[in-house]
Amino acid sequence: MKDTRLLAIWCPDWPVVAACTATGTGQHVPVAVLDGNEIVSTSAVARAEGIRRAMRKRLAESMCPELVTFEHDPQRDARFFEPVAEAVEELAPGIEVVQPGLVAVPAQGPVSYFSSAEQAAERIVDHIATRTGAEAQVGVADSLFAATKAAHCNVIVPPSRTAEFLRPLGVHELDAPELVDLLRRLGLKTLGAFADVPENAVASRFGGPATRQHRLARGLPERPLDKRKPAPELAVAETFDDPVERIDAAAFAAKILSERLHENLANRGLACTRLGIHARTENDEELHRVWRAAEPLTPRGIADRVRWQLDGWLTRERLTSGIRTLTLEPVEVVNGTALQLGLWGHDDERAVRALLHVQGLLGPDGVLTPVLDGGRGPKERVKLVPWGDERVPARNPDHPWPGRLSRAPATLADDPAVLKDADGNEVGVTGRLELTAQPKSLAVKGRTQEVTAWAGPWPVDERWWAPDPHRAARIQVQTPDQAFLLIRRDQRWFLEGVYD
Amino acid sequence: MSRSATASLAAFGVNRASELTSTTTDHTTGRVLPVRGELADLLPWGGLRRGSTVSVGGSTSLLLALLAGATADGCWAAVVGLPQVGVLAAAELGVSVQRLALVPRPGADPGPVIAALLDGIDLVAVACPLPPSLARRLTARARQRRAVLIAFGSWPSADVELTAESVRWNPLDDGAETLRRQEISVRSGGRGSAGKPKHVLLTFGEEEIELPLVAGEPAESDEPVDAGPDEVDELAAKRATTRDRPA
Amino acid sequence: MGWNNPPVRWKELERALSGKPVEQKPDGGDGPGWSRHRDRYTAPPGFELRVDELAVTRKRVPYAELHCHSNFSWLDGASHPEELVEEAQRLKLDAIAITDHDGMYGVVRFAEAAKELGMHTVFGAELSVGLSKPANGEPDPEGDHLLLLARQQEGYHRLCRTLTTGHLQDDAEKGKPVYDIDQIVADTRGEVVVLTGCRKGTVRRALTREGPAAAYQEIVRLTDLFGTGRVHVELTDHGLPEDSKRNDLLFKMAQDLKLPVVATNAVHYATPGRGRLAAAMAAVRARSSLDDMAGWLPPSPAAFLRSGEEMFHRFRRYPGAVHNAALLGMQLAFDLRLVAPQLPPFDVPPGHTESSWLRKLTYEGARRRYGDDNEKALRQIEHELKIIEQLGFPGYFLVVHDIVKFCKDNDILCQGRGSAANSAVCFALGITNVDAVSYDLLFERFLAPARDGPPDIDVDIESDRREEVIQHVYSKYGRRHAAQVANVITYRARSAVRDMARALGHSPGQQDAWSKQIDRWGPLTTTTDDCDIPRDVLELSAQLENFPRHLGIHSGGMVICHRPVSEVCPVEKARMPNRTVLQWDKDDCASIGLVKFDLLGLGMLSALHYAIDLVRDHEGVEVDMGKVPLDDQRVYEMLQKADSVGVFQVESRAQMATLPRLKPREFYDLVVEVALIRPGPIQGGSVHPYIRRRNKVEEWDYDHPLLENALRKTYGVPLFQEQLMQIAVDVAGFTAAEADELRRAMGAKRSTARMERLRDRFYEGCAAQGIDSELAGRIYAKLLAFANFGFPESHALSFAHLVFVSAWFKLYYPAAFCAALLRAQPMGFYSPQSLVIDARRHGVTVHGPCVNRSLPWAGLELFEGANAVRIGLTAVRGIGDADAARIVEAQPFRDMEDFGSRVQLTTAQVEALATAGAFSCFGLARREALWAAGAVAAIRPDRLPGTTVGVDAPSLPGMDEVELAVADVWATGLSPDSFPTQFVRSKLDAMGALPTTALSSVEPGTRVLIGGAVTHRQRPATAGGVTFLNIEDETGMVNVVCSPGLWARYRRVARSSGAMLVRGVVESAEGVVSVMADRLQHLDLRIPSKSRDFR
Repeated sequence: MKDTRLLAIWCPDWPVVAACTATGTGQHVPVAVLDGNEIVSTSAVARAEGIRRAMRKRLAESMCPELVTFEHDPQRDARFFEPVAEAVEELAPGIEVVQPGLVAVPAQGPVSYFSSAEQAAERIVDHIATRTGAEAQVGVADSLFAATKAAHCNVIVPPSRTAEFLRPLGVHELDAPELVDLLRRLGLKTLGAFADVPENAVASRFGGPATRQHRLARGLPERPLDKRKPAPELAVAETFDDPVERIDAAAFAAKILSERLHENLANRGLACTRLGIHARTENDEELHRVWRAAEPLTPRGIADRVRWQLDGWLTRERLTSGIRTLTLEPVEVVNGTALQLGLWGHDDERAVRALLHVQGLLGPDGVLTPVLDGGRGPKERVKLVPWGDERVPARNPDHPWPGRLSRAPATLADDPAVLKDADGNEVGVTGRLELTAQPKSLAVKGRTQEVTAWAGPWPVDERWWAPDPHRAARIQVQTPDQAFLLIRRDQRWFLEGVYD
Repeated sequence: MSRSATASLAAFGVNRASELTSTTTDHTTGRVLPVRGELADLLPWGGLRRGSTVSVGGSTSLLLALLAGATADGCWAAVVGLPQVGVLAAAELGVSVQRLALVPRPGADPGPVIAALLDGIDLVAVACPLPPSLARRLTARARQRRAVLIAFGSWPSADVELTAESVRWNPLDDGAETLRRQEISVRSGGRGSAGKPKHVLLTFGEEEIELPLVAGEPAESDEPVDAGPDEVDELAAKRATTRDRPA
Repeated sequence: MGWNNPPVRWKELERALSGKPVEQKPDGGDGPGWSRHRDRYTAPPGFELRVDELAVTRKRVPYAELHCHSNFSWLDGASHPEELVEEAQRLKLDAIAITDHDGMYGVVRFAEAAKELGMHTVFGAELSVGLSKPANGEPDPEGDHLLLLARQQEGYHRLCRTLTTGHLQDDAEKGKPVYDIDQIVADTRGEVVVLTGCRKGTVRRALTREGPAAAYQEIVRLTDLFGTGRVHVELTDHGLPEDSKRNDLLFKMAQDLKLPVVATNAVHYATPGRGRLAAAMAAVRARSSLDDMAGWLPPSPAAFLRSGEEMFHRFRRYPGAVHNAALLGMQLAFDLRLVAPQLPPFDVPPGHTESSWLRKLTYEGARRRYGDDNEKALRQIEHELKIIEQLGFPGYFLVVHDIVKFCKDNDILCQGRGSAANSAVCFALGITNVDAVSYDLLFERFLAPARDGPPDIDVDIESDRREEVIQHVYSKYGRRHAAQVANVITYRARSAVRDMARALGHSPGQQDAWSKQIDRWGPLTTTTDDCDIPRDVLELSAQLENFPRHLGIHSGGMVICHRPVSEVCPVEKARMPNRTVLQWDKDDCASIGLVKFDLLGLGMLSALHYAIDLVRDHEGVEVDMGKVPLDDQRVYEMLQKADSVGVFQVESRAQMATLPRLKPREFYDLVVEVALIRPGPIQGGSVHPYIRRRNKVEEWDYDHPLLENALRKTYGVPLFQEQLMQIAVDVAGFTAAEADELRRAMGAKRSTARMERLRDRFYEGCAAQGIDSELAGRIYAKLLAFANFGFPESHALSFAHLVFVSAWFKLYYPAAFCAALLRAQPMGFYSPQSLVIDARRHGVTVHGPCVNRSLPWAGLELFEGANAVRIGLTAVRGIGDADAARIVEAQPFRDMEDFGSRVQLTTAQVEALATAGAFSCFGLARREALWAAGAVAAIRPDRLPGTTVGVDAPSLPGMDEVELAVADVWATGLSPDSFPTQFVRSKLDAMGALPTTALSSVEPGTRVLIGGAVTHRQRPATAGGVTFLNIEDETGMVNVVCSPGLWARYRRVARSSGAMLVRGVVESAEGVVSVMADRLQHLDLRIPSKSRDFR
């Protein structure tokens, strides 16, 4: 068993740590990270207020109204974790990232290098703290599950004592809530008690998935031994003409490459459980990281990890140049069940590359792509997003938006305008939504024209509940040879568009 | 596929569904990109020939209308140097804006930007003034890359020139009606076979509705119509006197 | 009639009763009887009755608004009906219509206000045709709208009829009427006018979906259906770009079809200022936020009432449209008061009139109740019958008698509540068990000639069987003649804050936190600076407060009517199957004169019925509630010790604190106990004057000898409304009827002319008796102070009887009483866990559920020579009534396998039974049974016995007593044989904590530590922010007082801990012990417990 010993390095509350680092949130405020409505991580201060994992947001906020919450963002977690992973790697080569906040490494290397596991643990924790300021705990045991639990309580489990170490731990350490509830009612409150139940009895009483938990409780490795070393030709690589320096470009590259790797594996009925990511920069820096997963990775799972990893590397200060080549190598594979289909087809790639090229020249904001948005005015109804960003409208354009204009001006504008009545007084709009007088002349961009006809006013009182309220009234105005859209806000008229 | 994966595809302007399969072959192999009905009469090829340069003047609506047919058919279009362009108007004129890219400010040296676009985009509309030499080089690039270059404003070497002579809308009424229907009077000219001038009146928007809509008489009244207009006061006065007043 | 005490601060009450001066503030309308009552509309300052000036002044443009939604369009209207009428008057409209969705919910209020302000009223409704689901939860509810306006009164009846038809359709459900257009036409043609409607009317729908030709066709269809002269093409202009073009089209169509056009505003609020509230309400209706609703909201607040001039300007392109609206409004207007309903004729035997039949029944009953020679009683009965006949109410009494008779015939316990007990006729008819004659109760409190409506006879019925009685009334009178009264649930401060916070996009957690900050009772306008609720939430909530939220069902009110009541007020389905409910609440019904009967469910009557059955079946004793000896001193001794858990009305924390002080020794003491307790601190020396005087610690005398007659029974302290009336009779020479008028005037509004008149009459009367004006003033002031919280004595008498009977059962048959209470759950103040431990303290053994011995509900079985309680199967988590019935049907079982093959349950259900120990009868440990549950639940009926695998468990750890208790609580919510604190007693001892029973022997003022489960958290409005915790341990319970400061300091523990260590100072007054807390700490009991908080 000795060669399977693993050393796990665990950073407590990592999603909270990452969110606080990203936002500059201090340690004294109660913080929780949420996935949807459920709390996935809390700060120590929040725990002191009674906030717990798996609690619903609603309950947590009613217990602690001052709770600061963040949406769970694995990419953020990964980005801030990369320096930690690097720090570990400096002392213990061959690390594998299990998830942001948790890395594992075969224990043999560091233990013999530092002469004892205790020494190794101490050095690693110190080194992480010096390099990154992050707090970490170390555990050593014979399986990843056990090593992780050992890290939670900062202990080195002696060789072959893993099952013994796990015995007194509560069954709630298993990530299977319904099974845990039933085990407790049966009086099987510890992992040891659960482990003592014969395997066939477990299978017949609780069903198949419970046997995996049973293995974990016994300190056995989580996967049975059908895993294998994959052939080297399964790896995929891509060399970029324009070195990848920006995260959005990296995300694109990650998707294309992940797709190819997945195809390779799927064609042979395989799925990846450990993924190696290699990158070489223009200045020939070599970057390498292995990600370890509990379950076979889906295409999306691969793409996520590649994106997180590239994000981590690209935001790192030490990188002196862009990434020239990227290689994905399956380090460990299992027989793949029917995982999902590919990410996309290869059409439109020509246009995509051209636009990415222009972004390379002008910056990400240089190429915009319109999304039809919800709203009433011609400007609100179009949202321009940098090419490559997600094209999601800010407001649902399929809603009816009563009162929106039926025709939009082909040219938009934002110039002050003066609209007057026959007596030369400015035309206004009353609180009961009527014009104060008939408009007779329009002055805009230094030119005064006779108003031959007009329509409106069409008042809007939108988003009054939000920080960006919009209260205005629009009219259309015709002059002898042109048509305009005017808008009145803050007691002044503006030209909003020209119907040319 | 997970929802977020689909969303990220959409981020790159890719639609998974039938749209792709139905359009790919046409627009990659077709030599002439389609345009809307009356516009076809103005263009010597009945559409926009790949590799050609067309100049447009006098109406933004006209420029946008030219992009409608091709983008709806699966082609990509880019508009360079026109930050005030009304994208919503473009959509109303039939442009598929999910295949529209905007480069509002191509910078001090727009040449490489436009050239890069011509490499991969089917229609590139350019609205920024360029030195004639650069304009000619871009025309050549368009020809080489089989893209259509549309110049908004004058262009030294356009194959076709389209000029809007007037833009008119339905008349508004004081305080009522809305702008609904647009008429653009367009003249075309240009080199070679396109050189013969033509006039076309383009209309965009809704038609007028005529009443009666239904032949025949409405059903005869089987009950008396209620009291006539002069009776309000009378009625009210009567009620005022008969009404029991609360104490 | 409600049974909660009104929110009067104790201090205030004490001052009033002690005869000290009181600052009287109107309390917001909770008058005598204390149910929420809506006062009649009075015009706000500045509004005066409008003398119809339109015939004379001619500047303004005539206009009537014919399309107008009030907030009774259920979240689709943002003004009260009254506000719409006020604004219509301000704008000098000629008439205004109310056209709410699918009903006449707001018409009574609308009509009342219109009458007061002299506004002409048109009645109509907007029908939602073609709904496939209720409109709530949809951003844009589906369905076509059809706007019908009644052509005066007959049209109104027809409209009500067709609304009822739609609501009662087989496929209809609450919020989803199903109309058939042909039926609508058949019901209403010729008597209604159709407007082509708003955006969702069929005409405009057709226009947007299919174009002008379809819209034209639709108009033609409407004229075919309703008649040409009855269809008006409606034009609205809300400042949307498309409005003018659409109106042009519709106008042309109307001209072409020679139909009149009318301008309307499709009004949803009185003034533009309410537009934002309307938008927020739309978000609430869609169960969404304003952000998510933005794309459906109107662009600006345009749906407000506009004046004739404004409309004339807006619709200048359409000649006649505004004028036609005015004209049509005047033609359709009528006064809703003309709709006066009556009771149906009661079916009497041939040769009898209703009067003679009532006489016969009454005298028959009187003979049984009083015998033949009780002259006083017979005189009283004759007096009452005369008044009843004079007022024309014999039919009413016959109806109530019929209901009570139905109960008796079907062995359903019932008794009349409230003022009916003031009537000897009611006693004779068996409607009440209180003898008005022997208690000298005032009949006029019940029925007086001066009152304009029939009396209220409320009948309490055992709650588990009330439905049978309701269904009897339905079947006897028919669903169109009888219906239950609605209860309009209105927004309170909390719900308003919650909904507005949600609409504004705040998270549910924040909604919770903020709504908790709102003082439970106070209106929002008084809640301001001391909370962190955002301004916009508060502002909108304050507007929303008191808006109708949804239509509930009144707790028991039924209306019966001579003509189909559904033609007076539409009737709709309630959420409960087989219930139909009016669209009006009790005040609306009263205003129009509908006759109401209250059939109320009372859990204690169910419990007593179960107790009687159990005692008969298991003890062989037949108990007759009417014959329980009311002078049994042992019962009073028990109550004096506040040993009253489970006893009707006197079990609550507050009552327990007064019982040892009042020391009830006779029945009348219980009557007083029921009446005088209100939530509030009894600490701090402010003892009720009645208690002081009863216990002879206070010297007192009557203010005047004439008061003795009225106040003798209560030691000079006025407690009952009847006493108020009696004083007016004795001191000021009022007739009984006048005295009732005074009582009602004092309870309601204080500054009316009627009040002035009665006060003058009172002073005159006093002077005639030789009472000087200074004393008369003092007496009058006392009556006034008291009027707001006086309690009907008759009511207290009825309830006191139940107090005694339930206490009697608790004393003599504690096991049966406990089982009966458990079966009648939910009811009462305490959780089943508290009831069980209380029974155990009284020596009763309680067994957990058993698949072979349990019934579906709690029962009794012989155990060691005594009756023990057996918990029922439905107490087990996940076992419903039907499952329990199937199990009981199949009893007995040989073993688990037998059980599994004969009763099909889910794995989770079998596991729950195993966890509860329900298989222990097979000699199985719970965990063995739990292991076997997996295999047992999988057995199908055709399986051969003995072939099931997986039934035998591997060796599993045994359970200690804590684990057993945890399993019990997990599975059934209660532990039958332990209380959580007993397992930590040694730890508590080590900390120096005392059991609660030890507190009575501790010197007051001593600082002590106690530990226990929190059973209740209460913060009565009258207690000035003080919170009371009821802490229970295995020995008993104690009241803990938490000051606001302490509560804030220990907020987290105080609010959320299920069990606590409390340090504090013992306070004791006359045997009532409580603890004034100075520290709260979480106590880990390992066994979860649940408290009943802030109910």
